[in-house]
Amino acid sequence: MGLNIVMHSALRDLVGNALKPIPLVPPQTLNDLLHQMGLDNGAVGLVIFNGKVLDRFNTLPDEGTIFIYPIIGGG
Amino acid sequence: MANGYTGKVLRVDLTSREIKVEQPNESFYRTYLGGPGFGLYYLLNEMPSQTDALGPDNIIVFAAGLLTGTAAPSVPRFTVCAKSPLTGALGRSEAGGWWGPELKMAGFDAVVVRGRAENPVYLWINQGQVEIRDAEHVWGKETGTVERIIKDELQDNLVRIAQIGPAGENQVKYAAIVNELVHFNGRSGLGAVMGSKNLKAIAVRGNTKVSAAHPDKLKEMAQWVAQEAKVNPLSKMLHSQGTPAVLTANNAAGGLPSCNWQYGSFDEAEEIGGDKLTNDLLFKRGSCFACPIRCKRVVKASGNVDVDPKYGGPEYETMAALGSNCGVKDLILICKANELCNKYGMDSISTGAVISFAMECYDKEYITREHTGGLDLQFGDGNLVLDLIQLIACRDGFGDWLADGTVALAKRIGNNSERLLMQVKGQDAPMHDPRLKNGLALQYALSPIGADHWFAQHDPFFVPGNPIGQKAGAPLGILEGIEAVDLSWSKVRLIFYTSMLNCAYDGLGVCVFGFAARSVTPLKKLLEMVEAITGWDTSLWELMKAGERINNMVRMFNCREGFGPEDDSLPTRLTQPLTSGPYSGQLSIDALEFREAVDLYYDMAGWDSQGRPTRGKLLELGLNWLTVTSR
Repeated sequence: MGLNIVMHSALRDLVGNALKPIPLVPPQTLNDLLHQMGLDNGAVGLVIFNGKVLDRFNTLPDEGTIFIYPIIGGG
Repeated sequence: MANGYTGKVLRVDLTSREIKVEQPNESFYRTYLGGPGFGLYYLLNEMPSQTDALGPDNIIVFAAGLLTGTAAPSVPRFTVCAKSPLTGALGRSEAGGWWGPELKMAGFDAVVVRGRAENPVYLWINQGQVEIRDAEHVWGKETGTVERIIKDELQDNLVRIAQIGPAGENQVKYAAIVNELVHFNGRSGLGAVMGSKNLKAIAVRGNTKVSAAHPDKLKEMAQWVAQEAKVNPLSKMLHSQGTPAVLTANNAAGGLPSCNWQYGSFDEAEEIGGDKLTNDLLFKRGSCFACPIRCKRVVKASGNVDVDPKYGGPEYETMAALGSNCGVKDLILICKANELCNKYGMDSISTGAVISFAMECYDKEYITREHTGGLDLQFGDGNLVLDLIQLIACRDGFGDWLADGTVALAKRIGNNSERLLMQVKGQDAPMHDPRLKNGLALQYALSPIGADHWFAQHDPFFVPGNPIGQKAGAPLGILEGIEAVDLSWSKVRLIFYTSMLNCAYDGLGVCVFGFAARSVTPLKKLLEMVEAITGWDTSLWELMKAGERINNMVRMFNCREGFGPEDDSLPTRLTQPLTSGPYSGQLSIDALEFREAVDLYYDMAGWDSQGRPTRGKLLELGLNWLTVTSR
């Protein structure tokens, strides 16, 4: 159990793989998680959990899957 | 010779076949930089207002950026400007590749073309020598064939060719100019302007290095950018997946235009996204002149449908416009549609827009098989999209209806179908939903060419806590983060400042995928590049003012053509909430609040209530020669 992280699209090339369980010591915010993953560099644009957008200061859930997408800056 | 520029502008009159060379002085370059600055200078000075966009008096200018062709990284771009046959406003479009650098190496900063040739011709610019050559034998041919024939007859495989396809010849209102088969001045129908002049192509070849005042410094900077691009997250992502990387992200946010913008989510988004393209179809990565990022895609497929890699691969805009927005879930067919647009020379955004609009009108029974010549215009039929692209390029049957663009099509169809249009000033909206990032709504409305997603920088970089925006914004005085969904004064200020910045980028030949905020190179380095190349003692202030000057010149062009504040508006659909994704039922843009934001932009820009630059603003920018017409 725990929290699964699904990295989307080109973010995978930044962190190495698509799906990995991250052990958490609650409470941990999304910001903490991104920092831990080296993704507090502006590359992440959208994080979704249970169909809702997670704010970077939200406390992370203990279990489930969050989906992380790259920043959408114009294509 | 000056540093960074050649000091020569080529003038060609196709009617009289007269060829001249002008040599502007240094202050001309420092004032207008290059690209759109040059184009607008000639258009405003020499072309009367209300000129027929497809008549011989329209002037079309091809102008490289100030830095283009030097050893500086990610500055390959050139601009084409003319009055647009699609919008009636300024037509302007930037392209990357090698054509712009080659023009500089051939000895010219810009080419100004007027008149109309009696028969099809192409220009051959070879190391300072210029010739008008017969093009009867390539007229009617697809771009790939023409590229081969011209290179063969000039006996030089390194000739760079900017050309039109059959769509430009047939004056499809959104025909593109294609260079090297994979780079495009796509927007505004500038290919139709070339077609109206019987100008099939401009082939260039040069071997004179564009000089720099401090070449060693420039080399150091190029090495720095090349190294940094390997670790910068944005340039790394651009390299790995290119612009298609954003497709699934837009979908997750509920902002992937689908079925003519009726929805913001597409069930099969993963099937047509960047991952799928990279894993299944990517043949190799392509690049522009002197760019270490290599964000271009080259795709290949064979089987039931072949996709020819010589036409490159689709950008995000194309994948959404010809994919989700037409309901098409077959990635190979989308890539084939991209190939056909490149082969026939058509803007893929407007092509997708006109097809998806027709599909929705058919779905709502505003048009029937009787109108379409028997075609069953169902969303999701990828093969139909391929057929329609060919019909449009040839103006054949129902394709002739589609070839004049969405606004003309809505007029033909009637039934109040205008309310389904997604366009501003006649230019079809790119594939980014401004309800998710409100600065983009201002971009769409205020961009002089109509809906454009690179009139300014995008909101997500500048949200609170994003280090990218903090770094990029600070030198501009943007010190606080601003939420993406926000139309307050601080958002207007962000768009105002970055619209000046992006105009300066275009004048310099800068690609947004190489520079802040979208990519690796910060503004400080850009400034150092300009100084190393030109030898000028310059400043960010001077460059921003040059950008503002360009923005005011284009505004004056449009005022002269009769555009006013009512044209700085948004499609009705954006005043309705999103229909899918995490913000479903939310984020409609309030029309009144939006109007106030546009008016505030006018105030900040020094424009009057009609959106016209004031005399004081024009004089402040040194545009005294425009004040006569501003009164």
